[in-house]
Amino acid sequence: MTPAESAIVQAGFPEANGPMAFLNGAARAVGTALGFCPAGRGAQAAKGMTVLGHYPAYKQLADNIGARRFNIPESVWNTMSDAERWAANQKFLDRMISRGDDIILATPLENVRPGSYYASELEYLASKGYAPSADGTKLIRQ
Amino acid sequence: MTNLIDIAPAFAFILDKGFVPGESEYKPQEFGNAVLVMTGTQFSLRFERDRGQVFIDVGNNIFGWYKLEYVLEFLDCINTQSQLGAPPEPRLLASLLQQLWEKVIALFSTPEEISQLQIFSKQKSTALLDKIFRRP
Repeated sequence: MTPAESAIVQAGFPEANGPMAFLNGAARAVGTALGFCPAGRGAQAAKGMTVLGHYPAYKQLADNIGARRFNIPESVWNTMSDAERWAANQKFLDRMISRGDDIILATPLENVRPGSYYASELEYLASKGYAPSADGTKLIRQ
Repeated sequence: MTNLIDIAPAFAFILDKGFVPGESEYKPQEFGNAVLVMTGTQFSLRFERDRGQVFIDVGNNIFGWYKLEYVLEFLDCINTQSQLGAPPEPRLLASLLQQLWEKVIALFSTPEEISQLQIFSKQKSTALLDKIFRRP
């Protein structure tokens, strides 16, 4: 299995339930090591905080407050197609939604970059019924 | 550490204009995210690689920082997002920056122009957020 396949499997791609399902354990171990899927297999992760934003703001804030953030090493990320990257990113968001995490925005909305992953994340969450809080620092489910 | 050739090779021409590397950061365990500030006399350029996408800001700590694509559109209205792409294509941004170099220098020498740029940037951001959150 390539590093990209590992990332995809642990991100919960449909293939994880198909012919590659036997690889889930190893892939999840990779994901756990990366902080990408903190709960064990089958466990229900507790509600927490997830930070979204542009680099380096999201990393700095997540580290400071002990929140979750999306992260994949460059050596894996560079082997993934654009579709695989967004699918992994979207899976991260779906898990965040299912946990009911508080969604903290590290980058002010006025600084969102057109065409960025951050913009795509906001658009996806807007489609799921989220909107900015009054002070623009969080996303709140409407 | 990262360098200009690694993060945005199309901008190598700024080395001939006297720009020197400043703040730099590279995180191979986090998507290969990187930041590099290239410092010039009248203005500086800040390069950010975020999940493989490269974004460029222009400005300084006095006048503030602005998305390069917004600055290029502010200086010449034909440089729209549909022309530059989303995210903007770094090679195209570099080419246009070379063409508009003197105008960018003039912009960051004129506080009144910067005030207009701030208004323009705010309008662009508002339009983007209206689109993202589907505001009428």
